[in-house]
Amino acid sequence: MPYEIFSDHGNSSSRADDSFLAMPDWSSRSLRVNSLIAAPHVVWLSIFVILPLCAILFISLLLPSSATTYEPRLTVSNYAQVFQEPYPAVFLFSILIAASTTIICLLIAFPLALAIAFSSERRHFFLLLAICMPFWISTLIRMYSLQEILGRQGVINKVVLGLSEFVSSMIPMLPVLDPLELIYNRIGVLIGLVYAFIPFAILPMYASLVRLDRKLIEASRDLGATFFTTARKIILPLALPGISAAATLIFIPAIGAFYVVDMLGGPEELLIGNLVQLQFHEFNNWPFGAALSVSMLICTLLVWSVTARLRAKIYG
Amino acid sequence: MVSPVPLKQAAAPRARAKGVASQLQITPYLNWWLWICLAALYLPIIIMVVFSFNDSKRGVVWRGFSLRHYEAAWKNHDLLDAFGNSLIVASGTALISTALGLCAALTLERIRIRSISVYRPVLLIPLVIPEVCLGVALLVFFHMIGWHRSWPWPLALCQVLAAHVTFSLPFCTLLIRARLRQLNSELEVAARDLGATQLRAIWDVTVPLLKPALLASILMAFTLSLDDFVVSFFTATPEAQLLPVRVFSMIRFGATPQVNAVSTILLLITVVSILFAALAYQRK
Amino acid sequence: MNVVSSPAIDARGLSKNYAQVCAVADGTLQCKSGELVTILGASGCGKSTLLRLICGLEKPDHGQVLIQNRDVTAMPPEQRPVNIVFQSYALFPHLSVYDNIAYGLKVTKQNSQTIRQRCGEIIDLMQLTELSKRLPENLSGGQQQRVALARALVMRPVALLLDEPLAALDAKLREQMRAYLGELQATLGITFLMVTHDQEEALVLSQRLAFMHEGRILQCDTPETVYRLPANLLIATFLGKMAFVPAQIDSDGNMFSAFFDKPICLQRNLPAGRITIGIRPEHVKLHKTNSAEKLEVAVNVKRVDFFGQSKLVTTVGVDQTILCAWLKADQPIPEGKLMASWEAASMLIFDDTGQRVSW
Repeated sequence: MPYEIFSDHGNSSSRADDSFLAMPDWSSRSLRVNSLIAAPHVVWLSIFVILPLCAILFISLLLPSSATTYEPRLTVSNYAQVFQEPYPAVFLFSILIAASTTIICLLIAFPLALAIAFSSERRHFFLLLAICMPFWISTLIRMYSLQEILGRQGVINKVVLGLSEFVSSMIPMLPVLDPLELIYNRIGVLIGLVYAFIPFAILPMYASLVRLDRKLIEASRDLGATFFTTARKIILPLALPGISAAATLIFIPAIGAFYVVDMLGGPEELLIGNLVQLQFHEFNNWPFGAALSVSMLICTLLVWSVTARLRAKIYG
Repeated sequence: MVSPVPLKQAAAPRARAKGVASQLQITPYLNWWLWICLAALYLPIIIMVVFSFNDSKRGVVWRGFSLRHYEAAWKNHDLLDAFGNSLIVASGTALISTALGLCAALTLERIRIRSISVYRPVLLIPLVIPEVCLGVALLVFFHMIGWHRSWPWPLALCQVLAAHVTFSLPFCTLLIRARLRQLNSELEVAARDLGATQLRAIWDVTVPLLKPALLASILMAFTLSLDDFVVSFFTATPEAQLLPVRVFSMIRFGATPQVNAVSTILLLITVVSILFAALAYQRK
Repeated sequence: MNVVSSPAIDARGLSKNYAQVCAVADGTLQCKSGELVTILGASGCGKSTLLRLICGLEKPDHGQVLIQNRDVTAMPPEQRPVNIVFQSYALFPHLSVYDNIAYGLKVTKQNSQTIRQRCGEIIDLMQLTELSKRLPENLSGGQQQRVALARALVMRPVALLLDEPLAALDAKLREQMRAYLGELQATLGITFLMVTHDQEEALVLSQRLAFMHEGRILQCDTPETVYRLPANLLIATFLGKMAFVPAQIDSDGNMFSAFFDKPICLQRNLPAGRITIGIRPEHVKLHKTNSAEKLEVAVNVKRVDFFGQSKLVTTVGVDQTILCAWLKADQPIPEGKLMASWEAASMLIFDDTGQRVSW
């Protein structure tokens, strides 16, 4: 909703006057005050983020045991197992699905973000609110309603079949269509993922497009460029920071979105998130599950650093 | 400078008020796209709401208006308990993560310590790592420190509360910080010049001016927590089920329109609090 | 007015660096009690930083700040007996005018009787009675300025620091507020230390004027002295209009320049070498025929700018050096070739390094 939180591209360089804003540390007393302010969340993050990450790293190096979930003996066998069939294939599939989701989201969202950024300023807020509202409803529930729409008995098939029956009754040569298979397969997973993560594409792109100086577009048009040339040569390059932020924000959660696959995918489709969830909840093999999720984390960080470098390159 | 504009174009009125797009002649297409996307976004939700009033055991054919699913949901004690738990956890998350987020935002913006630049990325970790990883990591951590499934009811909510605060903290921090950046930092300085101590200046000047952002943050954390599924799925104990987890298992064991009814109520709560948050954030 | 022999503010060798960029290099400045001192300089010369160092919003890297002979260098701003008026006024937008003014007294835990009395006095003095219930956003720029002044003055500071107090106002109002500030200072007898980049403001208001450049105070004297006898070329360039003529002095004391057609013997003991001559337009006379003056050159009129009560005539000499002269508005400008002359005593001479040479 408040898109400003997405528009911070993590660069602190924009604040050269940083030192001017903060007050100097005067005495040991003000140092105490500063620590009083800094302490709560530093402590919180240390306990509930840093320690758990260490814990999962630690447990991923322990031997699995069916009775006590893990034995206190160090091993790397869990990581070796990650590289055995069928896991690399699942990793590859997850990355492909997440990448396709990202691309589809960006393609849908770019004109959408443009439409909002170009509308009159009073409408921006309400359009953004309208875009974000579904996003604030539990993804789980949205996936459930997609089930009702996409299924063999779902709304879309009802409409399509009804139409085709009607058409074939008018023109007997045309056969009645079979129900469309929109769910419990890859299509279903893709639709679900796109539906779940599309706001992550719209908001950052909007944030960078709205800051774009409109005179640039006017200038480009003034100099005789068509809309598509303007879009390609002026708008797209300037929106790149937003696009790369969007790509990261979609790709990372998409790899782990196991519930989307659970609800809309078939037995063939598995994401890394599903593997982790299965190891923890079905097979009770925590060390291996931990190893899987550490691997996933590493994938994520790789994506993050690649896009961060890309952004650094764009900024020059 | 004279721009090489053809005469007829130069003579055309430049309707700034209507936005640039009016000159680009692309607006109609963009607007069509906007409305199509909005329709696609809202279709599932509308269907869900409509079928929550359907007088049928299976949710695919319309058989007339009825409130029977709401009644059934009302009588479903597991569901109600989970709903209550979700509300408690969401309220707790809202307050705690906003308080912590305020501290974090102040640390990032107002304190001149060299190590802050190191700390900045740490703050965003919960935003960057996949939710599954965070959920699993917290599960393992709670298990290792022995803070696990054996606690009685109200205390059993503590771990899921901690988990929810953890993932909503960066959102709250960024939201409050965005507002803090817009504030004239000289105000706080002026208060100190007039004799207020650092804490007093923050309390008297910065916090009142941040009120809209704080309210927005509270409501945002509330909805984030209420709607979260992944982290709750890993960290909620059987004694303290949360609504989304409960709904998930209901869907797995065969969907009933009760889910629609509960979702509609959840939707209503979310929409109302988001509207409040948005208004609070908009208000100067 | 209390007469204290010790200076109200005594800054000694203050320096401050921001991440390798030097903001203040050697801030040394004394303000006597009850004096109005302005710090003048181009933007980015470190004058605001010097002010912030004095009131404790910045911590100096080196140097000391003494207020009424008390070393306050290690004191946080809330404990220093000086108050600042910000360029942006920094009025608390959520508090009414009265609460803004009372804020300082409240946080320093004065009793409510005192608060009411002192706020009442200052509100009367600043003519804010009618506005006292309003929020700052409903005030005009000048009113906001008065509230900011009142909020600082109610604390009865040893010295009031003003950071570009008039910069945010439009031209007409600025002139009014300028006069008001001067009167206020005279009435209250409080030391005012004001930072400005507007030379007119500095010249009109101050009892003493400190010129600052690249973190250093280059000259600190009465405005008249600084204007008439600027310490170096930088100040001369900044303050008022001045024509600069490069010249050379040989060992006999003769001055050569492409500007003059003949060498000029100044008959004073000036060191030999390159110099720059500075001539203020108010000292230049224009006439048709040669005069008795020794310093005289032939010029052509290039442009005439009309300023209402007077006009500025820009002329060029034979070597294209520009020389300006003020004329009365009704004074006609002679046609054709002109002679420009000035008295030798009115001429400023700067040596090779830009320092003024007294002669």
